[in-house]
Amino acid sequence: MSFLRDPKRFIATILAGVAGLIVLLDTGGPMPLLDLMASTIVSWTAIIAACALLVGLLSVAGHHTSRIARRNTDWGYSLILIIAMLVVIISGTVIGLTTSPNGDLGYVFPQSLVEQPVRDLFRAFYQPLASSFLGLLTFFSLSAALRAVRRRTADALVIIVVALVVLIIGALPTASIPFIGVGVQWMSDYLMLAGARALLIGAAIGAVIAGVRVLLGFDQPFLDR
Amino acid sequence: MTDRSDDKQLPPWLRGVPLPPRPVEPAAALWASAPALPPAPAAEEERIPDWLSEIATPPSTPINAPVAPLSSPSADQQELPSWLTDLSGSVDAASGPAADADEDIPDWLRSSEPTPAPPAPSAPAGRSSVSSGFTGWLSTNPDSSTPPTPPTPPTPIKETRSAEPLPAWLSSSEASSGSDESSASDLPDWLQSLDPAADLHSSNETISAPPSWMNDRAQAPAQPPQPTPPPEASTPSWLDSSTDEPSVPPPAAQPEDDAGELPGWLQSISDDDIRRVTEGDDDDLGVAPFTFGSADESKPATSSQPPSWLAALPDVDEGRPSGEASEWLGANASQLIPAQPAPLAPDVPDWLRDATSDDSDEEAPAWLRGPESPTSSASELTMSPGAAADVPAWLRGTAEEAQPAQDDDVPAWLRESGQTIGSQTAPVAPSDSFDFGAPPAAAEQPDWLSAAEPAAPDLTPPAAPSADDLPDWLKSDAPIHAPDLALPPAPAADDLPAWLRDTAAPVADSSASTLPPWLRDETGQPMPSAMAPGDINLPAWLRGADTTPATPVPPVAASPDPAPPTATPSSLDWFEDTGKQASTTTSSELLGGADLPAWLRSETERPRENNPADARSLDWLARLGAYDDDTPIAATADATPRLMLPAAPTRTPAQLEALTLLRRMASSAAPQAEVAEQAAPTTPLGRIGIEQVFSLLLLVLLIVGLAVPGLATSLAGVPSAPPPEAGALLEQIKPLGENDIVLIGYEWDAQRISELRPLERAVIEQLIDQRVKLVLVSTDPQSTMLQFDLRDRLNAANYQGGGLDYVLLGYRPGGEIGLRQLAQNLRGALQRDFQGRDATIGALATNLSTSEPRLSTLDDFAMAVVFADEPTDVQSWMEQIRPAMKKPIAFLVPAGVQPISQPYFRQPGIFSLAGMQGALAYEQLRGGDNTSQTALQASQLRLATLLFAGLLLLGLVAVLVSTAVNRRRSHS
Repeated sequence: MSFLRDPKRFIATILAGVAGLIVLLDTGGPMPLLDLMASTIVSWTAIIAACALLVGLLSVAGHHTSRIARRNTDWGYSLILIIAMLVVIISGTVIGLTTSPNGDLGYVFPQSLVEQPVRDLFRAFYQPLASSFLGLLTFFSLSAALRAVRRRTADALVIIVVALVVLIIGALPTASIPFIGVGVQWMSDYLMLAGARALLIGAAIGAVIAGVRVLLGFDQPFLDR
Repeated sequence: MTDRSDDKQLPPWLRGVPLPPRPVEPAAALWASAPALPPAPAAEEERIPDWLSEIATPPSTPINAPVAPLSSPSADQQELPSWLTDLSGSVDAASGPAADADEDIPDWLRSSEPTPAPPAPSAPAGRSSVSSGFTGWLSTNPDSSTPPTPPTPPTPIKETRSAEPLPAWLSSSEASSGSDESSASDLPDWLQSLDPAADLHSSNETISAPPSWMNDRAQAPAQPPQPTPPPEASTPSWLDSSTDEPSVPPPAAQPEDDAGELPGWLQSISDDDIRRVTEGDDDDLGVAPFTFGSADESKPATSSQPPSWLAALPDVDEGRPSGEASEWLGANASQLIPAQPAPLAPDVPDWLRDATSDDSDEEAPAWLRGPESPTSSASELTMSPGAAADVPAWLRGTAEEAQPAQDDDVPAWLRESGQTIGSQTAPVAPSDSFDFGAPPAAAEQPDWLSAAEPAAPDLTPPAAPSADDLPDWLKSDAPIHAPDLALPPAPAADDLPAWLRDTAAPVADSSASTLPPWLRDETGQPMPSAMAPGDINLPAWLRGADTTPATPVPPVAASPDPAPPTATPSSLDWFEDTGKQASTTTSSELLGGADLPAWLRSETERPRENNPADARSLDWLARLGAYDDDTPIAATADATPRLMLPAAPTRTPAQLEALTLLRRMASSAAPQAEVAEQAAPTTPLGRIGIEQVFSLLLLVLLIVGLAVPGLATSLAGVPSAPPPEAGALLEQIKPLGENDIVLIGYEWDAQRISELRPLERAVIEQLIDQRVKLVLVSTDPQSTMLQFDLRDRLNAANYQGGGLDYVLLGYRPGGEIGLRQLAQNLRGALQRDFQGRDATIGALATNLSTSEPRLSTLDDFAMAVVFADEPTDVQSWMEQIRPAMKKPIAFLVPAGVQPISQPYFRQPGIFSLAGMQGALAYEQLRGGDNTSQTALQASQLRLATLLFAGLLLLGLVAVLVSTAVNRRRSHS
């Protein structure tokens, strides 16, 4: 009854349910009509996703611009973000320093968004920063392990001991050590695999339930509900 | 006895001051001079509004109208109410003989016959004419006294009044009329002027100049009274009941001479004076002009000046002509002065016009009109019916409440007081006669008026203190209403006067008298629908209401108390009791009348028995009005049925404990975060912290390991078996050639570049070495950038783009959707590469020799290699691509993703290679040119891992030791 009273919700639910049902039926077997409809829907969805990326970009830019305008806390970081974004966009779309067939340097618009200027920026700044950011986890892991030992809780001790064992086994050529190599392989093939499968199966069941709820209109993530 | 000529409280014309000369400019002082004009002709009568013409019409005296009516008799007949018709009929019969005329006199006036009125020294003709312009009580008083009777002091009056107890306010007035001068000062001016002794005394004095309006009356030819019975249709509804009732013929004989109808103070005016004033020249008079100004004024005022009670009006100034007075003042003056000129009519305000219309009487509520019917006041006799209709409803009710004086129902004390007061108040403006009308019956009073009784100083009604609260224009009229507002307390039943004992019950039981006019027919009889009291006339939702008063209001409350109240508390007792009863009964009645559902009815609400007599005694409309106005809210709220509160839920001990805890937490202040007091570190290690020390140590060791390659190479000597996954993948890739097309998926970020770049390099290098054609696609924007790095390597390996050796599709939005789109329509995905060019026309996607597509489905690929840094990426490819692609798929993932994605990797046709170790193992198995470098990287990775594990182990030991030491210190 509430659906009928809220046309917006009703229409959105009908659209989501019908689209999801078409795509779901398309996986069942080769049906030309359903294939066409499903491919069309998927194409529309891809376009919408691209537009969503653009909308997200504008949202981030607007949010940080407002932070700069209001001089909010840490507005300097927002300024850096805006500058970096403008630099990447300009370097990827406007600046196209290239060589003409005659050998003259000139400005041409880049043929794609991944031409040389942007790639240089990405390679020079982003890749080292991203990899080093992951490398910091080494120190964080060490500090967290020592703090957990100081707390002297059983859970923390178990985790630390297991991590230490895995590191040592991975660092050392344990495969050649009798019983240890076989034992590590057994644990990987059974215990670890069983746990991973349980995790994946559980996630899959949850995904099925979530899909059914979306198809039936109980959940409406497209309406932020 | 004071000399009236010296009494400055009296108006000049009562003190013997000659009347003012006739105004020269009637327009300036129209209201004062107009009475001197002759009767308005017919043409002028047309300009006069009805309400003024009615006032100016001589037949305002219903008993005997010697002055010919201005309007046609038929019109007058229509204007006259029925009770006046009866009276006029009797007057007609008794116009000549005094015995018949005496029948028109009511009992209460007849009782004043023994009281001799002040004699009229002269001018009986003039007196007759003048008396015709006065009301009945003015004219009947002189009737009781023979003309040659000398002025009678108030002693007989006092004797007559002393026969029955008088109310306090009358007693006070009586006392004031005595020799007590101090008590007279308590009275208002207008009452002091009514000092009977002074009045009578002044009547003996020669009034040199009667008012002009009196002269007008005097000059008017005496005409026989013409019976003008008004038609029934024009009879006001409030008079219908009185007409229905058999009128009691006044037993008092009417004197033959009309002069006998003059009051004493008028009879004292000599004809010579009148003639001299009316006929003589103004200049010859040489008298002070007549003034209505205050008696306190030492010098006589001009004729345009209003009397003292009108002087309080803001618009009336001394130097201001009366014609410029406010409109309502003109209207009031028209009522006060009998022959008020008509031209003031247009100046009458609208509200007064409405009030003066005849319909206003019918529109008056029942509580206002109800008391009118059984009674008639002296003011009613004073004013013509038309003038009575012009009086606002609130004034008319007050004036008409004294109507019983016309009947025999007037109590004795009222008869006496009426006589006395009538004789005393004769010189006063006719409106002042309202004061001494019979007090309205309390039962017929609206409740709001009854409620105001305690507040009103009923002990001294003439000097109504509430007049202070009135506006200025009402202050002058305040004494008029003071007796009405200040009702004497209800006496006991035994104290009731006879007329009330007789009439109270019929009045209370008579539904016809209390019925609104719309429930009565033309004759005043209750309509058939109105005969059934209560339900028939009520709307459906009110038919259940009980019209029986829970506490019948005794008619005792309606009667004035003949006994003077001694104290205010005692006088309020009866009111309090009545109020209590009303408060306790009205609310229940109000709710009882409603169609309440059963669950809302209180248990105490019993079905009432409909007593026809009781039901008939009250008007439902009056009851409703009383509820609307006076029902105490508190009493109504008390009588409202209350719903029972639900029983409090029983709480378990656990709930009570939780409730107590909640209350304690809510009452107590929020706990402040306790800052742990840390002991000041004494050692440098303690000040820095173990974590920071070990972190710094790890950093130093890593730098040393990179700086000193020998440390890592020393560890590279230890052989390590390559993982089986690397070998399987190598076996899967090795047979691929230049005719094979491999789909490469980039789904990783730059954060994982330390692990995936070696894997990429190991696998992609092998494919490039084998000249396998590639189709590169990505659903991750960041990975798309990393994908383009591969272009340089392909270009370096002489791979031709444009769909010949490789196709770079670039970014495919939608994540899983993009993958599904790729799986469903591979040709469609190939129609646009990262530069928008159609890749299907290239040699990679289409066999140029046969023009057949080489790539139609995913199965046309020889293999798929996916670089994924998240388990979800593996899941997406396995769910979207794997169903459409039966060829082998290799996943190159970081070491952390490999355990979670292990179930997928164990499936047939799925190969995986994880982490740096997998890349090194693959390189090692592949046996490429980078074997030495790969060995160095593997030794460095092993060294770093061992250093980390060693530092972590050392840190654990250090922490345990430090904790134990601290415990010992704390224990010690």
